[in-house]
Amino acid sequence: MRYFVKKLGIMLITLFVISIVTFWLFHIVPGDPAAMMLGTSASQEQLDDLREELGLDRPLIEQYTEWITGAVHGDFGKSIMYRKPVANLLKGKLSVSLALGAIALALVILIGIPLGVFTAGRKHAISEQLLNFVNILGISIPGFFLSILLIWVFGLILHWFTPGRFVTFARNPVKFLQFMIWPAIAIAIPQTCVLSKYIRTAVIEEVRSDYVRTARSKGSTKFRIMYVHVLKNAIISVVPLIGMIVSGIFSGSIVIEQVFGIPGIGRLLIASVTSRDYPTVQTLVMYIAILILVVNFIVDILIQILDPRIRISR
Amino acid sequence: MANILNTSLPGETMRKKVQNAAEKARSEKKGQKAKASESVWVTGEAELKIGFVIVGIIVALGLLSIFYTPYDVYEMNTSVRSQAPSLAHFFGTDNFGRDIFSRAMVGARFTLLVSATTVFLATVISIVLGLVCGYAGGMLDEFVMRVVDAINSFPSILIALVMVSILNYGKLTIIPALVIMFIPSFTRIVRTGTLQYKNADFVLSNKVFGDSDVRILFVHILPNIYPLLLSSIVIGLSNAILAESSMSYLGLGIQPPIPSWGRMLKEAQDIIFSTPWAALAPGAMIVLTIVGLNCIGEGIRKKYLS
Repeated sequence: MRYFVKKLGIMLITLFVISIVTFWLFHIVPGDPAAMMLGTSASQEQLDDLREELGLDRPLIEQYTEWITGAVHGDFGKSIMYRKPVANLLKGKLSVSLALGAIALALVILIGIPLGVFTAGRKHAISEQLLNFVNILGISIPGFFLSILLIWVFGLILHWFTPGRFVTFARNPVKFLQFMIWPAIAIAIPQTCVLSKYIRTAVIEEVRSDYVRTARSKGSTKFRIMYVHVLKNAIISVVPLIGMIVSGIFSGSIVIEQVFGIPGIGRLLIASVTSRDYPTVQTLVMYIAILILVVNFIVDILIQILDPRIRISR
Repeated sequence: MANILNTSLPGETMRKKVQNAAEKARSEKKGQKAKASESVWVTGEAELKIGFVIVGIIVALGLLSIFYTPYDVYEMNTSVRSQAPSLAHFFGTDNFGRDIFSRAMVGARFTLLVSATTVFLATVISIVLGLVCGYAGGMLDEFVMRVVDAINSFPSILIALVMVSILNYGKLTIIPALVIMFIPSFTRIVRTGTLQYKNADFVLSNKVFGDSDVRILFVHILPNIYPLLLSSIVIGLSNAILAESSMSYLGLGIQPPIPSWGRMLKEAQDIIFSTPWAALAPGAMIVLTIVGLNCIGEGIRKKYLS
């Protein structure tokens, strides 16, 4: 429990630091948001008015406190590009991206873990070279190229889905899944390769331990040893990786949403970076930071619960 | 292992002797292994060879493009629009009639240039940061490592995007944006290495003889970290190429009219049904380069670090 509170405290402090850094970064940039909103034809008077309205004329610390109190209440300021509150822009987009990420994470775990165990059992086969090669290939293909290949082969040639036509979950859940599975695959493949490789190493390590020999001498089947005894310990050793994998999935989805034309936060992020819509970029960065921090927090707690050895040593 | 052993001996001749002995033992062991039909894959030789051949070809193509390309890279020739690969156009032509092979060559040059510059700058900064933090310790170390951890936990592409959006973008904005991405992991490696050798006997003895801290860091500690750093640099290079092409795909990397693999893919995406080679060629170039670099990285890791 003390550990829980300590981790929570660290998380909040990190979040606070990130918010300051993000805010500061986007306020030292050259260029005046007011001038950008009004265009080149605006008069000095108009500019001053808008600056006052946006609060740009006040000290930085005051602006920061206002921004952060607003953010806590769900008000992130106004988008320069869309002239709408950022909170409105995010509506619906966040859930789409989260769904995409969740599907991808499910794929990574459901395929990566059995694949790792399966390949660990075949240590000395010739197939190891092949496997190694497939693994290198898997982490070497850029997500966007993989996506283009998927669109080409499964969308345009085989007609298994219609590229570029995104359907919301509310309108048609089946079509939604049918569409989302492809970008999820493109995001999942590199991460699956990474995870299965780690699982494989962990399993090979575990198989050498005494309890496996004991289980074998007791007459447990190979399947039971692998999937009940070994896997449990192997999984514990890769739980810390989940944070990294989630971060990788986010990286992937930012680019891949663009390729598939999915209206998620990745696409909004790229659009606002290109048009230098700082309030929106700032908000999205904070959102992603919170998500990553929460995931890391959960992972930390999960390790505590899963592995009694760490709890005792504390 | 041999490295730690021989560097901890102060005498130069003694060092040589141990090194020779270690080398001999290693080569004998290797000979035995080869005889026992343990393939070259175990030692990492095969990966290194494959990697160097692939990367060598692509670097050569990139260098060649400075002096010669089969066709003009920017010239649009409507008479040869959307042609399939042939002897005249190895990778075919795109919908403007531009030769894709020539564009891929020039793309190789710029992608490699940007990635190499990025990794080089990140390495130099990280070496200084990591050495100083590991050696000095204390508050500075704690602070830098916290920042490094924070950056590291973010999706890498997000960092690059934030940097691109706050820097005024010009042709080369992509370089500082990517440098930030690589500093954390490199710094961590250098710092860990520094901590490992900080209190080694050979460092302490040099300190007793009055070597300055700077000399100790760069002359005595740094060379020991190279093997560890080298494989990370190679992997970093492949990540840099991945990141650069992603950013160029998004239109935030190398700016037009310079051809880059990422943007060639972007332009080919809409015409992939009619002219798939326009997308497959630059895509294959990216994958090949990264596979090559990953092979080299894996080879170095197997050969020198296990």
